[in-house]
Amino acid sequence: MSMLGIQWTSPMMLILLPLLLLPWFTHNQDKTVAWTSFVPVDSLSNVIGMGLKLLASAVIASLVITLAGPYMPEQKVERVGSGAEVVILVDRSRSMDDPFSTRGKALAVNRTVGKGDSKRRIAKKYLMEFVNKRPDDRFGFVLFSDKSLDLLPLSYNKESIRQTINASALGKGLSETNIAKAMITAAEMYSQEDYRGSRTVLLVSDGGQEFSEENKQKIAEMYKRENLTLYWVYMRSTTGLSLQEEGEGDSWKNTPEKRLHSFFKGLGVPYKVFEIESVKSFSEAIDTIDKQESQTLIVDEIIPREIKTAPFFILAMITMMLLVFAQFYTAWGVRKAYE
Amino acid sequence: MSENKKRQQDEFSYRYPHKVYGSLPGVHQGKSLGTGDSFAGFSDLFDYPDPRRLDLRATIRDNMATGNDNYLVKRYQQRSPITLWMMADLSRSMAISNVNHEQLANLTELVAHSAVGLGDRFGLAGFDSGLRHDVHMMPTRQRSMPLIAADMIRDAGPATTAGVDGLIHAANMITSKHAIVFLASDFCCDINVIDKALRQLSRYTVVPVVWQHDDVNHLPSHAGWTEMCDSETGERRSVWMRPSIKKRWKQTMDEHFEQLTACFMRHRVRPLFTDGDVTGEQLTNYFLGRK
Repeated sequence: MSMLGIQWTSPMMLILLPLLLLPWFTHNQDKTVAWTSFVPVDSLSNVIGMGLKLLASAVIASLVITLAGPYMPEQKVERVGSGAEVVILVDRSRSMDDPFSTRGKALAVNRTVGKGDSKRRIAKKYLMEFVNKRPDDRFGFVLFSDKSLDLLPLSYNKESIRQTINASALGKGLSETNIAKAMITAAEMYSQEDYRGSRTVLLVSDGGQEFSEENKQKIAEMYKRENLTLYWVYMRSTTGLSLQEEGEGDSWKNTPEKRLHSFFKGLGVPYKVFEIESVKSFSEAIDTIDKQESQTLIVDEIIPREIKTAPFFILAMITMMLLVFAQFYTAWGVRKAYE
Repeated sequence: MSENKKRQQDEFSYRYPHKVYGSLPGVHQGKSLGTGDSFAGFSDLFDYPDPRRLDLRATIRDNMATGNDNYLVKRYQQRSPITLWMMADLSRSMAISNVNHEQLANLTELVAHSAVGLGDRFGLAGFDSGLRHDVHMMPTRQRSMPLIAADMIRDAGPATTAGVDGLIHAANMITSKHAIVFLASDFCCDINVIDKALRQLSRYTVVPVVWQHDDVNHLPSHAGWTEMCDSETGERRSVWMRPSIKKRWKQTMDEHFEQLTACFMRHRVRPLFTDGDVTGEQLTNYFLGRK
């Protein structure tokens, strides 16, 4: 049984619908008077009487309808939006628990798991903002330390990505870091899907790592095949350690971060690195990504089953309150008449 | 009921305003000649051979004046009985809350008891939309009759159809020569019917006993939604009570009773308004106020 796409949980209840005629036939409030000719004929009263009966019918009808339980069944809607598919890779190593914005300070030694200024929490905050800004994006989430955990496969559900980001900021970090594995996981995530539009991998980490030759090859091949764009949000911990400085006398040349950077550059896929020194630069990085990644995208939206009883309950409640008010007023009037 | 019987039955005294003609002796001023206390003239002893009533002074004076040789006897007007009729409205509107058959029965018993006590006859004619044959009694002087009449009304079933058109038929039933007619009703009906009935009863002395309903039985609410059904026809009328409606209602009702009073005035009838039991004292005062 359906009407306007509405379906009923228990359509048999609609058999009760003729009950809405009840108010038009009951006369249980009749009072016998000696002679009705004394009672004036009043058109306003007729209108009010009609209105009260309609209200009573409306109450019964809406209650019966709520009993029958109308709902919109789950629907899949395909629409064209602008955005991207983003897999977020977040480093879950212990160094992410360090405080952020270390400019001019020595490397902090205290691990601030519960503090609001740990890198992990800053990252969480801005990732959340990023997610909120992009309603049409499809997000996946991977957490990695020495193993990668694909916490959330690519999904349109904004609520689940938000909760995943929230949850990722809880607890303590783990010791190891294995970026290569995480990157492979992200690429695998995409390889299971049809190509829909812009595909992005957003790597959030605070350190680099030397990849093995085998991994390098695999990553290069997969990223090219899946047509991915790579963003590296590098949360710098130590002042002066910049990826860009390519001078001859660069004593940091062989740090893992720099090697990783040069590997990414030579990968042959669109790549951009954001060196985050402060909270402000993080938000700028997020904004830049936001601007760049807005291609046309076919979005599959699943509208979940929706129970439509609420408006009927509200209607029933409001009309019932009106009727109750009229009833109390009448009762008061009768009592007054008998005084 | 038992207490009622132990208690002495209330009664009232009444006078019939006209002279009654009838052969039977009663208490009301009569026109027929016979034993009585009001002098009605002289007559020849030969015509009325009653030597006890011989008036020698009148005889001598008459003989001297006329030269005849007659004996005159005094003649008197005999007191005669009348009939008291009770026309009881048994329509449905007479059976709601403060106006009910019990009160009507009490009134009937009161009238009947007083009538029989004075040697008058009592007749009962119940009516609703037609004549009520189960509440009907031709004029009688039986001593047991007041209770029987009252029980007739108490046992009367509700009216089968609406209306008081039986009033006309009941008026036709009254054929006594001299009668006081008690017309007990709430008079919540068409004035024309009452007018017509009163015209038919114009030979008699009519005492309309107007039972007034409480206001709540006319309009049972002060404010809010009120559904009403007519006690007679069952016709439904609903109003959203508010002061203006109340005013209009009051006006309509006052108008009706003004018209009713005017109708009574036209027929030289003085109504007795009541809203509960009618007592003997009330009726006595009514009749005293009459003369």
